Amino acid sequence: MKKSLLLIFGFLLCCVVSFGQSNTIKGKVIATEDGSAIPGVTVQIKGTNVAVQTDVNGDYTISASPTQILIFSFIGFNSLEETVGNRSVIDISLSTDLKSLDEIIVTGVAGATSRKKMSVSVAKVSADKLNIVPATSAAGALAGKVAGLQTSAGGGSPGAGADLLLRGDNNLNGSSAPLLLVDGIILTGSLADINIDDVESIEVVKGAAAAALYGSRAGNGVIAVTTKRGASLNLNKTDIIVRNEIGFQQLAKYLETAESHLYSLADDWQTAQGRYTKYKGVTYPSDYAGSGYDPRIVGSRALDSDGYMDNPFGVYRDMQKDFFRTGTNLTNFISVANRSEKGNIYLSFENNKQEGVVKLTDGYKRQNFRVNVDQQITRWLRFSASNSYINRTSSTPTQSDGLFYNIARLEKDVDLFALNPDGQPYYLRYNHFNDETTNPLYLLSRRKVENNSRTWLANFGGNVRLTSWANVDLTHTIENNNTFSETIFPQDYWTRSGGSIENNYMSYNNGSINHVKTESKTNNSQVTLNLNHKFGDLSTRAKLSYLYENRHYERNRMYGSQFVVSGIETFNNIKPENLTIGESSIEDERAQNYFAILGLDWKDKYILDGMFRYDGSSLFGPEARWNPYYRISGAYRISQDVQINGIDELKIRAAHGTAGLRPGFNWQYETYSLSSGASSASQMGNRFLKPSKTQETEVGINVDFLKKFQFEATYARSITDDQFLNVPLIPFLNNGFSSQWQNAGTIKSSTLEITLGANWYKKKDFSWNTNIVFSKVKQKITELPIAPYLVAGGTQQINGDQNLFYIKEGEVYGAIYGYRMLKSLDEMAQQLPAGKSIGEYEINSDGYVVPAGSQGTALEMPVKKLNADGTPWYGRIGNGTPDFVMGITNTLAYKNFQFYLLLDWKQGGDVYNGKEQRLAFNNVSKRQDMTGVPDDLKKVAGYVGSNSGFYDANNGNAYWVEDGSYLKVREVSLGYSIPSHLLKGFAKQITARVIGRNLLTFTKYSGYDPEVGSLRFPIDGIYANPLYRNYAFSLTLNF
Amino acid sequence: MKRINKYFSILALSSVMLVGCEKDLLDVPNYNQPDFLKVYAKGDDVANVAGGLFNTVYRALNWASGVKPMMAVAADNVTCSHGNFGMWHASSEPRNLAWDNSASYSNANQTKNTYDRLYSAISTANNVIKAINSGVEIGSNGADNNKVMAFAKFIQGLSYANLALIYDRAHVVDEETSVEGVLETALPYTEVAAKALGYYQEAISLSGETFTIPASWLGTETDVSSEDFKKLVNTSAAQLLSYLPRNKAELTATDWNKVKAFADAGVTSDFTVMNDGGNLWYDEGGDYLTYAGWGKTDMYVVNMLDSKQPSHWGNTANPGYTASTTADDQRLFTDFQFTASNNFRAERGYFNFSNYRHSRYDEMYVTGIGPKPQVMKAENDMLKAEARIYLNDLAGAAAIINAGTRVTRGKMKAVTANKDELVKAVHHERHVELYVSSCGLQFFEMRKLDLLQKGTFLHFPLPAGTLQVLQAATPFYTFGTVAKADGKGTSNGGWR
Repeated sequence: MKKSLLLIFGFLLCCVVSFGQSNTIKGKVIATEDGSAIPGVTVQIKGTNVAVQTDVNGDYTISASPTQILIFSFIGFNSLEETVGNRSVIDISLSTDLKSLDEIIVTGVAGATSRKKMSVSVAKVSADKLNIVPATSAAGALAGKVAGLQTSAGGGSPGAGADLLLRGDNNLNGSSAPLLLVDGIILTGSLADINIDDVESIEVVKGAAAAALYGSRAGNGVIAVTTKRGASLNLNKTDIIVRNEIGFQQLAKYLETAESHLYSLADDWQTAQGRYTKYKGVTYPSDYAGSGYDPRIVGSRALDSDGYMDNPFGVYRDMQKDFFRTGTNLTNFISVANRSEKGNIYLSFENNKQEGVVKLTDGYKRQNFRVNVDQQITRWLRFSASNSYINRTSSTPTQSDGLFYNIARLEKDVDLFALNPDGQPYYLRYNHFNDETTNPLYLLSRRKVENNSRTWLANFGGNVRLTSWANVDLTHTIENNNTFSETIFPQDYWTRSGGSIENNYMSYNNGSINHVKTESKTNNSQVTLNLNHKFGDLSTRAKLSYLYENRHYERNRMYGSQFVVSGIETFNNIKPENLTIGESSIEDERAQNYFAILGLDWKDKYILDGMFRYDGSSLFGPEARWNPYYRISGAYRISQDVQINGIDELKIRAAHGTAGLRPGFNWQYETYSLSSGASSASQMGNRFLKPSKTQETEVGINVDFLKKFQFEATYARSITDDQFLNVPLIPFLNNGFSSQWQNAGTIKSSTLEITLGANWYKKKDFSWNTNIVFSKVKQKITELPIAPYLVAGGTQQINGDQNLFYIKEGEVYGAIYGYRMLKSLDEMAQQLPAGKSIGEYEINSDGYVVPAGSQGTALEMPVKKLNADGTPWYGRIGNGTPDFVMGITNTLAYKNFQFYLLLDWKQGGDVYNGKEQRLAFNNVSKRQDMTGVPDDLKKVAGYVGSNSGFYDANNGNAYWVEDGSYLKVREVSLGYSIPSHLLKGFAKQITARVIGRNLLTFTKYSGYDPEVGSLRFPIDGIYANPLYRNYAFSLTLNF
Repeated sequence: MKRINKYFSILALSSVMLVGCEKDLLDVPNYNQPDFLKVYAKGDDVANVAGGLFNTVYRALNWASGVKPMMAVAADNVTCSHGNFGMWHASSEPRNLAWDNSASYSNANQTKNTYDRLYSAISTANNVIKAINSGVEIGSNGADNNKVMAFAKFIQGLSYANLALIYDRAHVVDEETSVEGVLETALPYTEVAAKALGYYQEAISLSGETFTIPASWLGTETDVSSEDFKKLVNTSAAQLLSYLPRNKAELTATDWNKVKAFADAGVTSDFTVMNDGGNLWYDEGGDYLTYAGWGKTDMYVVNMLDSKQPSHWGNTANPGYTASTTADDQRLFTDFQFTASNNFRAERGYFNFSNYRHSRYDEMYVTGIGPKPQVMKAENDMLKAEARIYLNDLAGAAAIINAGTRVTRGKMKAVTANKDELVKAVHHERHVELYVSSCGLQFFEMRKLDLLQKGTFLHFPLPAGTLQVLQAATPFYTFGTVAKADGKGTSNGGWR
């Protein structure tokens, strides 16, 4: 924070030339509260441009005449003026200025603006909050820290990004992820590759009004990351930071599944105990290995007559324990920064390695290199560059492997470590009696996966000072990204086809190789005229800007199978007829954007801000190529006019503005799909396709009170219309085209955000502060001019996840639809089958209506709710939108110890436990396990797991909707800084920290983790992966 | 001077940055997917579009995410307890699960995919014909116009034929006619079939001229002559007429003279598609219906092969069915494999259990690369024989059957010229020899003989996703369940 303020102040203040006869004055500046030295304090001779700054020890030296006055100023402290007089030493003690303990915002505004003068909602998270528990990347760094921001880690795979949502989800199609900026570079990639140690601050521009300056890219708000620079250092000083972290990742919990089965055991089953489960009616070969398919086994397993899942397995293996491991994380970071009179430089390197929790995989590795420089070339020309090179390698399994479900669904006696006929480990056919799936460990052990990515992010800029009130910024940004993915199955990869009895009817599939390469080049150029002038009491700031965007993308894929020579896994080793897939595609995208913004500030109390932007993009249809955006906002700092006891700052503000989202690359075009030269009609074109439009109005109040507290509340309402709808067409009436992208549909959303900061106590040896962020979002589909439709939250593949989320006019966005089983006899009385009386039904021990007297028998089945006409009732069974989300941060410092705790609380918001529903279909759900259940409470397996039961043929059913509320210990850290006097000049500071991330989750949710799926569609489906727990030790040395 | 430098710098930098700002800067073409004008620009393009038509139909009928797996298990040809592809729902006993025709059903795409792909082929075929009719010349001076027209007509016929066979109704549009997009304008399957037959006849008549269909158009190993192509169209027409009846009454009303004429002009060797490992040509449905651990041979078929085996698995896990040592049909030992135990889940019903699996195509399915018969000569033989049976040329029928795979591969005793025996013999070949060949074959066979188990759907309703767009009344209509067994949409017969 301080560093970034200094950076800005440094450039705004001219402080180079000194003149006149003078004495040399020396002194030290300390903080009144704790007596500590304050580096970076500006010491200026009043009425001149002469100024110096205090060094790291708070010392300064300046030449001044006795009549001159020195002004000591530093952000966060009350300024002080001292007449020099005859003194040669002037020591100063500055007291904290709670009113100005403030942040400077640079994103989305006419110029750097202090928080108290902001008229729109921009939150800033600075390095102190980001670095205390350094996230593995910038993607996960904001959870629980910003009001109005919801995050979900979705799948916890190493290197995975996080789902970020600012305020409401306003988009029926397309992403609701905010626009990402890193040092002004519009990022098309992910924050998951940005290392947090380099980050100086993150500004979060919430809502369309605040983000209007970014026009057709900013409908979802903006997250702007600013990285560190040498500018914040003292003159001619070098700062070196070395941080090493070693940590461990693990699953926070294993999924509990059934410990029993419903098959009849052989009378002598105990003779095989410890080796395999011996079923009744089955004859095993005497040398049966004890696991997996053996063609010599005769007989099938039979259902036990009672239908209960309460029979033990002959052997218990903990597959989740066998499959998941504690993975190691490693972070090695070094940065070197230096500042000279005319320039500064910041260099850094980070090595990040995350093994992940899945055995037999290599995890994720990333190296980040950064060079940030600023150089004052002449008095009027400054050059700045930010460069980052990111090298990433990942071999983690993909979500589509469905590993977490595939492991959970295993029966408890299977042995994943058994051998294949040729001695390869992880026998493919691991379950003799259920041969539907193959051994997931075999896939992991033999499939070679490598995903590489190399990214260069750069911002080159020049600033030309025209006059004292006008300057021009010229910037060119580059984002180059190359990816390469390789998947190889070796020649001796087993498959369950062909072969003979000797190899258990398996054979080698002769392998395959798949390569995918992409190249993305984005070059954006911008010219901005910055104007800044004060007319009496009226401060004005303005920008006129032109931005040109140019993106080029290419993708190539090649696939072949059947290696000819063993051991050589290249395309050269494949016959031409088996090179069956060759694909390539190219995308070009260009945009031109013009904008103007004017900020007015009358006497520091009336603030008015207006802007206009005009965007043209090649992604818009030719008939809708240019689209306007605007914002008007204002604020009134009441406390400047009215003194209220206890109120340090009181501001009200309001803003209205528009922003949009651009369509996907090919949405406007009429397309025929092409595959191996064959074409077929795909999509009808739309020359009128334009960006979706979000209009937002927000009002807010900021109150700082009792010199301890900062309170901010914002209420925002948005209307997003011209949604992107992929409207299904009847192909035979539309020349074969099955869909067309159209602008239609409206979502309205409202958000209440509250932030409360409290500095409870601040003394030299002890301080304690708290920050609470709260948000509540409501969203509704108010207009949908096409037939309502269902979307699946998960991925529809061989095993489909349930189609649950109903997109329908008048419905909340996130509504979960499905069937419902009856829980009251009153309801049953309304839908009695012909010839039945209500006396023939009863409420069972689970609270559901079942046939009277059926409890504990195969006849005990729930009754589906019906409509009056006898058709099944189908309606809303849940709502994925949370009641509210809240983050509570506490930081306590005692002497050299520092303790930090971030609690993340999500209240309400349903999760659909589709994974459990599928487990029940496979009779491995814990809900079906009757071991130890009293006889009068036992249920047959089919009560939950059959089509007539709660499994309900895999339809959405209220039975599987669970409350997704949670309270998470998101981040916790205990740190100790070695006192500087003990370091004896070895280092400026050494800090050791013990860190925990996602350590504990308090929830009633029964699955792996309630933070699952996406924010839009919270379904814990087959392909949803849980978040990992992480604990680490970090050592930071500052030289 | 400094000031001049300053402005010069800004200008220089700005101009460098703005290089490339030309007129029409924002007009960016789609380099990847052509539009109508590109696809139908010239004769070669139209020919190319036509070349992809059969693959679209092939995928509609043979991809696992279509109706093929469900129809095979509903016909008691194959059995599978897995929920995938709607197989368990379609095979469950008693047949009291209606086809869940709601958009929320997780297998809803099984009927939608087949339907959409068939209409994709129809729409493209219509456009090809329109292009030719508008004067586009394919080949030198339009030398290939006739070939492409014949092929497009074949595709119209094949697509509508399969819509008529699989669904209860369909909307018929072609290069000349269109309809309003509401449910009411759909024609019943009999009228759809009549239209399909018309397209087939046009294709046959256009195939009188000599041309060559490239191998890539039909997925064959070599190019196909117009003569062989004409045979394929004839077989397709015979299939349509023979397989269309929903019950025995409709079977009786079939124009068997037409079937005979078409079949007699039908294929004389297997029409085989070269599977390519999953890119364009892959009988994925057939793979899952035979893959170890997945589809097994229904006991109904096992019993046909060896009458000592039961036709239905008893209601117990281990009824003591052992491997056959002798069999009525020797293909039990060549095309099928004994399995001593079941890997299906008992709780989903013992009715799924079986002691044999189909192994005839195992070697091909190791890689999914290689020849796989799609329309076998044996299928056409059975159409020829069947027509003769119902035309009362019993001796002629017997001669065809006895000259075919029943005897050559099955080593079965020759069938006598007895109508019931002949019907049974045709039924046998369709379940055994034609196992996992053309889509739905065994289902259509069981359907017209009233053999589908009571409560089984006789055809599918239009898919829920389509009914949504047509804004049809909800809940969407469907077929199946014992209570609705009317012999028209839901089977009221059954072999058991």
